[in-house]
Formats: sequence, structure tokens, C-alpha cells
Amino acid sequence: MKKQEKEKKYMVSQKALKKTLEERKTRFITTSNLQEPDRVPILSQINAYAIGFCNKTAWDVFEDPDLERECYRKANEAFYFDGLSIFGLNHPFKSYFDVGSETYLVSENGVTIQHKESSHMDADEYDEFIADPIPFIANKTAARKIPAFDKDYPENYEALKKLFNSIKDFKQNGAENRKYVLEEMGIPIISSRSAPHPLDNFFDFIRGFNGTLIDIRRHPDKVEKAIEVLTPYYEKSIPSSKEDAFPWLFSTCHIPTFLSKSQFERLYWPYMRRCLMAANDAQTKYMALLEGTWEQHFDLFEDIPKGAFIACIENDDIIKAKKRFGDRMTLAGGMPMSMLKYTSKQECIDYVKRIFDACAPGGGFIFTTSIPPLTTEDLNVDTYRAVNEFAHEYGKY
Amino acid sequence: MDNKKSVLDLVKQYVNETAPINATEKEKKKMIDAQVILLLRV
Repeated sequence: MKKQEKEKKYMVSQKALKKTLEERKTRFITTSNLQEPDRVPILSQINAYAIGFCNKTAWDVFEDPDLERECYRKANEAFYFDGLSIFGLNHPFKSYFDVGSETYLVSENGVTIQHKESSHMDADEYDEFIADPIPFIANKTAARKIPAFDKDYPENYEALKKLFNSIKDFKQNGAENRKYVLEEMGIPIISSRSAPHPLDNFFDFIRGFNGTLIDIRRHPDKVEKAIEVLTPYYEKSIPSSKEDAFPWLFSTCHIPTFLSKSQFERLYWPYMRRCLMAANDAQTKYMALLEGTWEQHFDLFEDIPKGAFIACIENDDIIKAKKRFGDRMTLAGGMPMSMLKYTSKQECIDYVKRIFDACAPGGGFIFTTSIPPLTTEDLNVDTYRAVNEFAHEYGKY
Repeated sequence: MDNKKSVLDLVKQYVNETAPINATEKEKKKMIDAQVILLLRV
């Protein structure tokens, strides 16, 4: 083929890709404005699953960004999707392992990357933490969990420098991945940045699962104060001026499923509501992964501004949630991961039909799995492919 | 951490070496805080 013809063909395909990208973006924007788009948008939550899908291990992709990109592309193009929640690893895990951290681990299957429960603060250290969290986090929490920092100077400094530089490179790679997905795959990533909740980070990385949940019951005042002093360091994630309507602000909510209604209302909801309202004021939206069961907290959603919130449902009844909140917020979900593994193609399709009939009318609905697939054993490929193809067709308004 | 720099000292050194030359002390403090918060997830 002559050079000119090749260039022309490339321009035509780029134009088509751009058109597809705009159509897909419009689906998400329209449905989140509680209006009916042309089709129900279908969201991918594929993460480390992509690595297993390509018969690779996490170790293979850790130091090969091109291979990582290839795996995520292949896995996401194996099924029909209108948007991605993530593209690529969500942490520079190898750099964490290099400094001896055990916060994460690669499972025996070589694919799934897990967070390991740990505590790096004792129950009697709240006053010290509250007095000044930054020295505490550096000299206690980080010093306890990162063995490389315990080496002699300047060896420990070299380790820290290498770690920070690799985090910087990882962010740069993430930005390049984002550009690649938009320009080469014609598919949007639905969030622009993450707004973690200080209590989730305290729970995940400082006091740990057991410690935090015990402390909340034994001395909630101290936990409340600890979150209060930690909050200013998280506020830069909250929008402070007008932003693009899409992509959205995103948060993964870990601890609420373990909290009672009153604990949630006191320790979690104020900051979550603040993120939500700030996103709304900035004319974008706040999307949150409601891990576990949230029905006990749903009363608080009653005063959320119309169209401000996109809730990804895991274990709650999405049809019930649609009946209650369908006129004010978008619900994402509808496909229990376990069904993709353990039930037949037809049973899954019948289930999807029932979900779409209840949740699609009026917009405010994004079809996705209840949780991200983490390993190839989580789902049956043929079933998932058939489900998304059916959803794409049946989801036509 | 006897005879060693504390982790916070190491972070301060990193920020001093990598911050833009015209960064103010206030800006550097913010950078130090941000780097320490990054360590949480490691």
C-alpha cells in the first residue's frame, strides 16, 4: 500500500475511533444526568484479571509497562465495554516490595494482588498521632513497615529516593496509559482522580482492620479526632473550582460495611458528603464503590442533590435501590460476579434482562459487575462475553 | 533509629533536593506532607 493510502486509511480509522469515544462518553454523561442515553453504558472493572487473561503473572508485568498495557488492552477488548474504571496496575507494587514492605502480596496464582491486614500504630498512641500526624506517619508508621528505612544512612536515603522516583514514574506511566486508552482504543476511563476517605486510609494503612474497628467501639472520640487531624492532607483531592463534567471523582469505600448507622453518620458520612457536594459544586460527579452492604446507611442519601452521585452497588439489592433513589442518583452494578462463574449463560442473560427492565428506564443506570474480577477463575469468559453482548443489544433505548 | 536519620529527615532531604529552586518554605512543607502521606500506602 502506498504511503498516501496508508495515511488516509489511518486518518479514517482515527476519525471513527474518535466518534466511538464520543458516543461512549455521551452514554455515561447522559445516564448520570438521569436521562436515557442511546444505550445503557457497560463498564469494565477489569484489573489484575487482565494479567491472568494473557497467561502472564504479576511479576511479568511489574517491570514491563508495554506488556502491562498489552494485557489490559487484550482483556478489555475481549468483552464489550463502553468505559473502563481502571487501565493498568493501581500501585507500583514492585517498588513497594523492593523496600521490604508487606502491605501487598501476590497470591499463589501469581496474578491476584492482595492487601495484607496489618497495623502500624498501637492503641495507646492516639495522643501522639493527634498531636502531629506527619512525624508519626513518617517515623512510626512508615519506619515500622518499610525495612529499607532501617538501614544505615545513606543506604536508607537511597532506598527512599528510589521509591519516590519510581512512584513518580508510575504516575507518568498512568498518564500515558490514559492517553493511549482514549486515542488508541476509543474508550473513556470514567474517573479522573481518586478521593480516598481519611478513615479508609487510617483503617487500611495505619491502625488496621481489627485495631480500627475495636477503637471505634472503645474510644470513638480518639478515632474521630485522629480522622479530623488527618483530613487536611486529603483535601487536595476534593474539587475546589469548576471541572469538566466527565470523567468523575472516584472513591472506593472500604470501612462503611463494618459500621453501624450511627458510627457511619459520625465518622464517615461528613467527609464523604463533602466530596460529593464539592464535586457537585464543581459541576462534575462523585462516584463511589459501595463495598459490601450499605442499606443500613441509605437514609442519609435522601438529601443528596439530584444527579450528583453515582453509586456502584456490590451486595445491596440494585432493583430496590433504583425504586428508592432512581429519581436522584445513578446506580452502577447489576451483574453478580458469582453468577458469571457458577450459573449458565442463559440464566445470566435472564437475570440481566430482569435487571435492565427494572433499572434502565429513565436513565441513571450503568451496567457492571458487582466487584472487579481479580483472577481468571472468577468468571467464565464465554458467559461474560455473551452477557455483555446481550446487554449492549438489550440496553438499546 | 539511633545514629540514623529519621524517616521524616530523609523525606525532608528528598524534598530539598528535588523541589523547584524557587519553592518557598511553605511550599516545601506541603511537599514534605504529601510525600509522607504517599508512604502510607507503601
